[in-house]
Amino acid sequence: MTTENLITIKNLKKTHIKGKQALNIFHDLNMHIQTGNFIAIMGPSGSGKTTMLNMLGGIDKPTSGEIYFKEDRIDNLSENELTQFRAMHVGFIFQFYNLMPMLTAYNNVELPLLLTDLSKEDKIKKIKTALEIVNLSDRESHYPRELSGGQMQRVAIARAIVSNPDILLCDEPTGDLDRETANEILGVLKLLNEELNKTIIMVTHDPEAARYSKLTLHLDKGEFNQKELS
Amino acid sequence: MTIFYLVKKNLLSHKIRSFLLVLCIFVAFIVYGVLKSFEQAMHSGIELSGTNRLVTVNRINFTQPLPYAYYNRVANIEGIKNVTFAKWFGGYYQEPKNFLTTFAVEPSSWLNVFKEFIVKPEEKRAFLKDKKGVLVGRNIANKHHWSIGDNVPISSNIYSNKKGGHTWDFTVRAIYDGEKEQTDTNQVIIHYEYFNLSKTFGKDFIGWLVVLTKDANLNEVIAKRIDSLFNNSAYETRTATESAFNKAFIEQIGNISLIIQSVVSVAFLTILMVVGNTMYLAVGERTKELAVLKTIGFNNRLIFNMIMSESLLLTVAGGIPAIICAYGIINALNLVVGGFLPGLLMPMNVVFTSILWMILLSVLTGIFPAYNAVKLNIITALHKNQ
Repeated sequence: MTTENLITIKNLKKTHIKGKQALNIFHDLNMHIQTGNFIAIMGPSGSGKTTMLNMLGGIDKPTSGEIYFKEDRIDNLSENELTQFRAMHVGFIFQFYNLMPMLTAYNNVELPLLLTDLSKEDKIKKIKTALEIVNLSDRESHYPRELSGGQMQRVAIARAIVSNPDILLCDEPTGDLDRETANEILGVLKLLNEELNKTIIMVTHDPEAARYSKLTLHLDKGEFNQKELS
Repeated sequence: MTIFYLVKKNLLSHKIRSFLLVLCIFVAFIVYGVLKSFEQAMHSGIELSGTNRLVTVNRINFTQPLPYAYYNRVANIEGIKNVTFAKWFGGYYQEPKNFLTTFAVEPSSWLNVFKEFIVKPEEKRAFLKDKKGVLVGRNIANKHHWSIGDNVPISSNIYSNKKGGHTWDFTVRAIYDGEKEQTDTNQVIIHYEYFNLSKTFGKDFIGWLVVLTKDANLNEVIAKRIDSLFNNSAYETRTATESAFNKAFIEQIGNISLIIQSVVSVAFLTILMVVGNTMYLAVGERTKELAVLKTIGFNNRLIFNMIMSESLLLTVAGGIPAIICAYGIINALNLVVGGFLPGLLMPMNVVFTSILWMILLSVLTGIFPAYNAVKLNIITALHKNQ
């Protein structure tokens, strides 16, 4: 298993401007995220957890500083280049699943593959595999309204991993689930990390959820306090 | 799954709303297709007018007669290639509701002037030979199932005959086809000579003259010559080109084009507002879904094309069946009112302009929602309603 730097952050600064007030979220933040890591980011509301996730995923840009994905700098990419970067390297998992209500579980998982040139057979194979990994093969023809919260989140995970991204970014993936279902989802994420060597960065409020990660970072006042879990 | 499937699924996610929009577009394009076909039928007489044909009518108005003697006098004017005349018969078959556009003419000269009436040589000879013969248009023959040799009684709602009735007996001797699709094949042509001898009043009078000039450049000069010939007579004339005459005839009804354009414009403007507003709201409702698509890698061009495709699909789903239906309606109307409105067909240019309108409508209704979707901020949209 390789442990190269997947993401490198240098002197990151992020400022939110609200009216005449400038709110500094991060100031001179530096960090490395290695391939195969499973990081939980915790912290109080408004501490910048989701902002950090958005910047790593290329849907937000820092005010200054640099973000590298492997060797490539991504913070200065154009909107179209960032879109392509996300399609190729990043899988997103949201708190409220964000599935397309008019599509079946199968079609929802298929969405990222619409952007690829894969053959029909290859697409089918990848979708089936993704659904198998999240243990939802028997629900592929169900619409989101016919699924439970946990099942919807599994579909969202399958959608995130179907194109085999390098990194999974999870924003409160268990925030809308009961304890038992949350544990199931976290188990799936752990499996993806341990068995498939997926790099996962998860924002959470839930200390129980953080226990599934290899590393928990506490974000407060724009700085990370690191806590390695055994 | 393809992108098109995704577009289709988006449209069908609110079936009733999409159905009502399609219905709305359907109605607008039916109105467009039918009215534009009517408009063109009204003007087909102008378009098909001969460039070197003049029409001479009574100066008072075209319903007033002219003496038969004018026919020969006009024929002698220099620069005229041919001249013919017609008299309105006011015909119907069996019942007044079976109206027939019937003209009593001098058959030989009539067919020389109106070359767009295509008659088989043997039928033409038979018609010219038989004074009680009748030349009928293909549409009329088909409508009443007439064929060569059939005896057909045709009544007049104006004239009576010497037998004391209003009905003349004729034999179908020839059936003509139109040179062009729009050529009127709803006419019935009878011999003036037979009609003139057998009617009880209005003898030796004709309705109007049709003059074929040797050169269209001579039209104005010849028109003046004709009218000056009959100046200060009891029956002064007014001569104009056939197209001007037909145009003036249509304008008696009113400015048809303006009326039709107004109705069509109102219909399209309403559709534009209804569809545009609904598309705008529908895409607005999907803000979060669009943000997710952008997050997972759908680029702006793809998002833009998807929304524009939705708009186009919606317009085409309503527009194409509407044009097909309008075509059916026009054909059905042609059977009913074809006698009054020859050339009532759906011309190809109406089909083409309908397609252009569909494209324009879809662009106008889709462009703003598509632009908004492109400009959508993913972060803001993802946190909407959370």
